[in-house]
Amino acid sequence: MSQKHPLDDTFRRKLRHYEAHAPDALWQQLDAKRSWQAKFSNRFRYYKGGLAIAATVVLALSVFILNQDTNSNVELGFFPIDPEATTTQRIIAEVETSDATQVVSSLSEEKNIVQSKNSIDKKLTPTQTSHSLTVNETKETAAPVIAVETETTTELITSSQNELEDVASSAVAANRASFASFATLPNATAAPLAIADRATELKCVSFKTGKPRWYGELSTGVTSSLRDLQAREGEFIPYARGRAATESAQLSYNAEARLSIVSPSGFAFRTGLNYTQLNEQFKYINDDETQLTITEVQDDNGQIISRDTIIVVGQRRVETQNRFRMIDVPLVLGYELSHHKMTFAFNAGMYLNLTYQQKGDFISPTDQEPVSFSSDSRDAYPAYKSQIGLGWYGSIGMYYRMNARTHVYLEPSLRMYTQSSTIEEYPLKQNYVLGSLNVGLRRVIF
Amino acid sequence: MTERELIEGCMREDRKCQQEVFRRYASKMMGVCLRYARHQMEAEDLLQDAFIKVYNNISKFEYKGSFEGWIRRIVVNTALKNYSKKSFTYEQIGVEEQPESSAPPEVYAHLHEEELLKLVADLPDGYRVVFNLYAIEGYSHKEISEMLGCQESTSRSQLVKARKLLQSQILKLQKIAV
Repeated sequence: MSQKHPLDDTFRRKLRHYEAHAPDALWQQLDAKRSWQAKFSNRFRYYKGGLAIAATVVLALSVFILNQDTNSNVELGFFPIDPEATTTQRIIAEVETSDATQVVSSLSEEKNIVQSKNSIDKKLTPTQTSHSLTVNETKETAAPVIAVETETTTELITSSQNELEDVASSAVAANRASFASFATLPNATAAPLAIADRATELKCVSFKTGKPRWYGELSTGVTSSLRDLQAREGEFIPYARGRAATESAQLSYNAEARLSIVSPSGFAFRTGLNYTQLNEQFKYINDDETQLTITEVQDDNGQIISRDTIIVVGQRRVETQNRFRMIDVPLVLGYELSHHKMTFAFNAGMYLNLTYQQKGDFISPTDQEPVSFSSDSRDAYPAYKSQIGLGWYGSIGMYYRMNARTHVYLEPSLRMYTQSSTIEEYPLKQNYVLGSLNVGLRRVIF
Repeated sequence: MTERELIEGCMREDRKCQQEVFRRYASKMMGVCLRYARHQMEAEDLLQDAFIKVYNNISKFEYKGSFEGWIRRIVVNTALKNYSKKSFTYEQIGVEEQPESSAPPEVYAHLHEEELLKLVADLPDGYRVVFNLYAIEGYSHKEISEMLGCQESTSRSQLVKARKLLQSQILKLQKIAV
């Protein structure tokens, strides 16, 4: 072993734990040198447990929602009522929104049911003369009429019976609580319940066969940008490090207006306009800045007789808020799952960049001194494109229904631009990954 | 902040934790890098590459053994990778002709760390790597041969040549001093 040789032993003792100063700049350089993919990958690995749990919860929730949809009674208020629907459906719909007595009254006016019923009642029970058509009394009279149906064969009785069944079923749908009292009444058990079952079956007619819903959506939120700077050639690696060391990302924001078309089966297409502003800070400090000023001294005749040279040595400090503004058109496909008041949307697609504008400072690739870049000025340093093409997009939307037409929603999203935002002549490639968390409002348009 | 908290922070890409890890271990690892590199600049590059690997692979640290030891292994492996493409067999610089040294152990004892470091840095790449791995890190020739992908006998001969060269250099220093 090495300890047996005196030379090895000496070197081992003195150099094994030898420490040397590591320049502080190394930290910033290596931080800048790390790719965003590695950083993203680490974060993903760290949070993958949480993500797996979240995915499991979403999956379980989706399965639960799908099962609920097939087994449970669907609330009528959620679906549009077809204007061509049957009389029974119309009555059910009306009962949902108005008093049962009014419905019966209007129906009676249209088809003279009261007249018909009176004539039937006279045949059956001559002593029964008063028929105020309140809900409970209607139920009471419905049963005897049905019982008599087999004995009478006239069209009048049959049609009257059907109308009265409808009245009874609408009353049941309107107020299930009345079933309790209804069941205790004589001759009022089997028939109305059977009618109620029929009513339940009928209300699913328009489910998943209706027209697509159109929504207008407005949202805004914070955006966090992850920037990757890569040198196009090896000689510019130090410059990339220099830029990374002098610039830092700040909290950014975005706002979006979009139109969503959602099919009855849940598939959605979304498009609109998105405005994003990325904020960065440029901070340049040079402690040994030398400023050289040469002043020409002239005589009375305007002849230069000497030159004064003034050298000022000091700290130069430049701090600028850099702004990158983007307008994009989202082209997104999604799928929505609803449960009670919640809707979950899973979206993926592209963002087509229409315009990309910039203003700020960075260090120049030629002399590492601060220079300005601006899409508004031709004199500024040329570095950035005016458009950055397509960006991949993914998001999960969580909608809460406030009323029949309005939702509020929360939507975390990730957007990645594969193209560099810099021009070919500029020595660095600059790519962005944007993470956003938006809150918004959506409203049914059609 | 405990070491575990620092590691956890680095796993979730917390810049403060990463900076703290760098602050705690950079000096020690710079010492290692200087032993494997020919000059300061190369050592800084090695250190930078090694710490990038540390941050990128920190999720693979399983809390078996010390964190410092894990970082040190990464630093050494980075240094080895740096030299992996160089063939040690070409590094024949007339060492065979160097006389066997008989310098007494006390001669070495008077040498300072910086002087020793300079002597190691002046060794040819292959010698320097093997000498570092065997004499200072404490690896066996079998382990070194596996790490470098060479024969055990190559590792042994490289070590012997490195010792010869170092001894001759030390003797020269002694003569100059006298």
